[in-house]
Amino acid sequence: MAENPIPTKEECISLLKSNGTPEHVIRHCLAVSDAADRMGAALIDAGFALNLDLIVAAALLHDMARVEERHALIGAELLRKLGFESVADLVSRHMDHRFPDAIEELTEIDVVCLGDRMIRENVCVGFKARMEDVIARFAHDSNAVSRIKASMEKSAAFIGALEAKMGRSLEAVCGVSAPKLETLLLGVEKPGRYVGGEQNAVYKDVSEVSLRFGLTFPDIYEIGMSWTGMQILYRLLNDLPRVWCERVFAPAADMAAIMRKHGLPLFAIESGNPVRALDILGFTLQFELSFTNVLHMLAQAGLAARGADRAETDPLVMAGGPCAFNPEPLADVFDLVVVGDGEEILPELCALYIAVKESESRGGKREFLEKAARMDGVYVPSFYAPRYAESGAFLGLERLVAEAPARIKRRIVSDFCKAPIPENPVVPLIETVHNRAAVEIFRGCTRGCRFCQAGMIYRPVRERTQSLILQSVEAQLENTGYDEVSLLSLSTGDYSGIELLVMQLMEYCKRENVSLSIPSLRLDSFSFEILGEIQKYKKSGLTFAPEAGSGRLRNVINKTITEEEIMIAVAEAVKLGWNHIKFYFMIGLPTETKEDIDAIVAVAKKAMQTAKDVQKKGNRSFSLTISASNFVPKPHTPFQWVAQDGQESLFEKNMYLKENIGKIKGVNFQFHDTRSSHVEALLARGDRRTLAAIERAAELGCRFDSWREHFRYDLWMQAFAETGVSSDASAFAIEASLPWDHISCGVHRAYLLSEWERARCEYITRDCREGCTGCGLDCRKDDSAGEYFGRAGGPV
Amino acid sequence: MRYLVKFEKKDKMIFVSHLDAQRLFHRAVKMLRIDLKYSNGFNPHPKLSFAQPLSLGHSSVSEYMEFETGENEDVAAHRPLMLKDRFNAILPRGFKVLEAWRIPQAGKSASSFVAAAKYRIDIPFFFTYREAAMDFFGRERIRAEKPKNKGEFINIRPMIIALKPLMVDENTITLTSTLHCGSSSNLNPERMLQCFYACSGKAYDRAGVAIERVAMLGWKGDELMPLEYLCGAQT
Repeated sequence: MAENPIPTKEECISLLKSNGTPEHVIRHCLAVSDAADRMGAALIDAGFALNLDLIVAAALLHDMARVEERHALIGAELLRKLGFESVADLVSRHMDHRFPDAIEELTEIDVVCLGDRMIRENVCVGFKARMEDVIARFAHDSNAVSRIKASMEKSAAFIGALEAKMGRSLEAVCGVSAPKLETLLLGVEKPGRYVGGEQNAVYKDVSEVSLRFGLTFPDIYEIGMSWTGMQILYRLLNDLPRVWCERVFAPAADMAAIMRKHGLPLFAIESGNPVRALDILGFTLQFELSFTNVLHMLAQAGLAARGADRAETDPLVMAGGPCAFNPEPLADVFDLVVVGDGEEILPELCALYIAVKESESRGGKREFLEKAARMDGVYVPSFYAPRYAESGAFLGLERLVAEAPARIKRRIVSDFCKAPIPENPVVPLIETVHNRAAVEIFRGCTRGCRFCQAGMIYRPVRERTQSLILQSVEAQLENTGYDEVSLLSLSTGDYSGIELLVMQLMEYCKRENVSLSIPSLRLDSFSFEILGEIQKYKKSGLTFAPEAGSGRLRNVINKTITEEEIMIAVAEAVKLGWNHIKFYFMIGLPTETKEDIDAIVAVAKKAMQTAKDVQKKGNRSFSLTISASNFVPKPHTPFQWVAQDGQESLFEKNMYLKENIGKIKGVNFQFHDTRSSHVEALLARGDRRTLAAIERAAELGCRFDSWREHFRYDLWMQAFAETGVSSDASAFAIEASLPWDHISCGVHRAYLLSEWERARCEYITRDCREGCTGCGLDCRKDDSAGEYFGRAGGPV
Repeated sequence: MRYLVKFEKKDKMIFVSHLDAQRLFHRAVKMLRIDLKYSNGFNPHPKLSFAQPLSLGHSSVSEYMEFETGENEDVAAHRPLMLKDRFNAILPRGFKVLEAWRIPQAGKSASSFVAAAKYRIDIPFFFTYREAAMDFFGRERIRAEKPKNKGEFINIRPMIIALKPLMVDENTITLTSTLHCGSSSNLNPERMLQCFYACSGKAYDRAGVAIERVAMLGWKGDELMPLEYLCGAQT
C-alpha cells in the first residue's frame, strides 16, 4: 500500500453507501466533486500544480458524516482510521476554510471548497447565488450577515483573480448554464450586431434542410455586411431549398470577452446556434490582415485551428475570396478552398455535400473531399504536401492522392448576365460602412495595372446589360427602401455605355429621391457629363488615383495617365464646383526613385495652382488631400516576384512627403501605417510555414489587425521571431517555385513575366479592350492574340 | 397630410437604437411608396420623427411616429387602417404597428405633448420589496447625480408620478411606474431604478431587469391622456 493512499471514485461512492450517508447528501457530494473536478482540470491547464485525484476524492467524501454535529471532524476521523490521511485532512478543514490572499497559494482544499460553495443541493448555481442562500439563512443576525459579507468579498476577490488567470468564469468552467444571449447583449456596444432579424434575412426550419451553411466574415458585422459578396452568396445559397445559409461575424472585443467569460461559443446570427451545429463554415478571405481573426473565430467556436486536428463530426471549414488565390498561409486550417467566383462553385459543392451525406454509404468528410477535389476551382490542401530544400527554399507541392489535380483551375461565371443579383438584400438594422443598394455592373478589368491583383484574377471583363442593371436597381430599392444606390466594379468609368446608363439612373434616382454614388471613376475615363449630372443633384467627395507621381513610374505600373490629363480633370472638377479633391498615390513601387517621390509633391503643387487659376475670386477655398499607401507585392501580378520596400525606407518617404506636402497651403497629407503593410506583404506571399507565425501572433493577442487601434506590430514581429518564420518581404527568384504556383487564375506566368520585363523597360501595355495583349485567357478568340502594342512605344 | 403611427418594439428589436429605428421606419415609408415631405434647405431631410426616444434595451408597446406627406401623396390610397397592415407586412419581426391615424388639422407635433410615460419594470424577487417601494415612494427627496455633470445632484422625486408593485411571483417582481418624460422634464426608468436599489441597500444589476414602456402620455387639464387624444388624431 502506498504511503498516503487516495481512494478512487468508485471506492469513495461505496464508502459513502456503506457509511449510510443519505441519498440526497451523496447526490450533493457527486455534484461538488464534478464541479471541483472541472475547476481543478481548468486550473491545472492554467498552470497550477494540483493533485486532481485528491480533489475529487475529498469532494466526494467531504459531507460523508453530514448527519452528525461537527460533521467535518467526524468524517475526517473515519477516513483517518481507513488510512486516507491526506483526504481526511481536507475533509476536516472544509467547513471553516478561508481562501488565501494570493492565488499562488492555491491548494487542493481551495478547489474542494470552491466546488462546495457553488453547489446548492445537487445543482451548480454559482458562488454568488450560493452565498445569498447563506446570508438569507442568517438574515435575523445582522452581525453574522456583516461577517459573512466581509468574508464573501475576500472570496470574491480570490475567485476574480482565478478567473482572470483562467480567462473564464468559474460558472462557465463548472457548466452552469450560460445566461441568455439577450441578457449579455445589454452590456455590449451596438448589440444590434448580434441579433439578426433584419429585413430580408432568411429563416428556415432546421428539420427541413439538409445542409446548414455558415457564411463567415472574419471581421465585425458592420464590415462584413458592407461587402456585396455577402448579399450575393447569402441569397444564392438560401435559394437552394435544402440549404440554410446563416451569417457569422467576428464578435467585437467587448462581446468576445463576455462570451469567453460565460462560456458562450461563436454563434450564427440567424438562429443564435453555436457554429459547431452547422455543417459547413465558409470563410471569406477579403484581406490578409483578417487571418488572425479566422483563428480566433475557430477557437471561439470550440474548433481546432488545423483541419487535421478537427473531428469527423466537426463542421467542414472552407474558404474563398481573393486571398484564396494564395491560400497557403492558411492551407492547414481549411479542409477545402474555393478558387474563383463563389456563385459558380458553391451550389455544386452544396449539392455534392448533400449527396455524399445522404448516400447509401453515408460518406464522410474524406469521401466528400475526394469527390470535391475533382471539381474545377476546388483545392483540398490536405491532399498536397509541401517540399522544401535544405536551404529552406520552397520547392513545390507534392500530390498525395490521385484525385488531386496538379493545378487548380479558377472557376468563373462566364455569362455574368445569368449570375444572380440579389434583389432583396438584407438591410442591416444598424449603420454599417456601406448601407445602400448596390449593383455590380461588371466584373474584371481590362486596364492591366501591374500592381493590381483584382485586375489579374478577375479577368476577363464580364458586363451586365443596362436593362439588367436598371431592373436590379429598381427591385432593390423597392425591396429595401434605401435612399442610396451605388454602382460597383473595379473601374466604373470603363463600362460600355456608362454615360447612357448614368443618365437613365440619374433620372430614376431624382424621381425617387434616391442618391446615386459612382465610386471607382477613373481619371482618364472621367466623364464630365456624368459629373455634371451628379453635381446638379447631390455632391459627394471626388477621388482620383494617379497611383504614382511621375509619368515614368506610371509607365512602370501601367497606369496610363499623363500629368496634363490630371490637371485638365482638376480644372474641370473645380469649374463644376468641387472644392475638395483627394488623390491616391502608392509609395515603394518597384524602380521608384527620389525623383518619383518628389513628383508627388510637384503634382500636389501643380493641382493646387491649377485649381487656383480656374477658381473665380471670392469663391470658397479649394483643398486637396494626398493619400499615400504602401505598395504590397501580391501573388498573380507582374510584381509578384519583387521585394517590398523596407520599413525604414517607406517610413522615411512618408515623412519626407509629410514635410514637403505639409508646406503647400491647402494640401493635407495622409499616409498608411508602414508596419501593417509589412505584415500584409508577409501574409500575402507566405507558404505553409507562415501559419506557425500567424498562430503565434493570434496567441499573443493579435486580432483585428486591419484596425489601426488593434494592430500590434511588436507582437507580430515577436511571433515571427519565435517561430523562426522569415519576416523578410524579400524578392522571389524568377526561377523559384512560388507557394501559389498550383493555383491558376488563367493568366499565364509567361505573361506576368513579360509584363514585369516591360515594367522595368517602362513600356506601357494597352488596355486589352483595344486588342488582346495575350495574357493567356484567350477570352476573345477572334482577336490577334499575343500581339503587344504599347501606347508609349516599345518593341512588340 | 400628417399621420400618427403607434407601434411596438419588442424581442430582438430592443437592441436597435433610436436613430437606427428612425432610419428603419424611413425605409419602410419609402418602400410603401408614401410620398414623404422633405424639409427645405441645403440638405433636405424627410419629415418623419419619433415622439420620444426609447433607451437601447427597453421594449415598448407604445411608441409613436409621425410623418408628413407631400403634395403628390394619394391620400385615398393611405387610409390609416390599410396603412397599419401595409406597414406590418414589411416591418422586421419585433416591430409592429398597432394603430395609425390621420391628423387633419395643422398643429403642434405629437412629441410636444409628451409629458409622462408609464413603464412596466421586472426586477428579480427579494423579500422586502413592498416596504422598499413604499419607503422609496414616500420620500420627499431622492438625490441622484446628474448624468452629464458628475458631482451635481438633483432631486428626482418630483419626477416620479407613480410607483407600485403590480405582480409578484417567486422569481420576479413587476413594478409599474409613471415618470416624467419629454423635453421639459425627463426621468429614465433605469435611473429611477438605480436610485431605488441604492435606497434599499441592494446592488443594481441591469442584466436581471426588463423595462417596457406601456404608455406615452400628455396632460389634458389635470389628467394624463394617451398622445392620440391630444393631437386630434382621426381613424
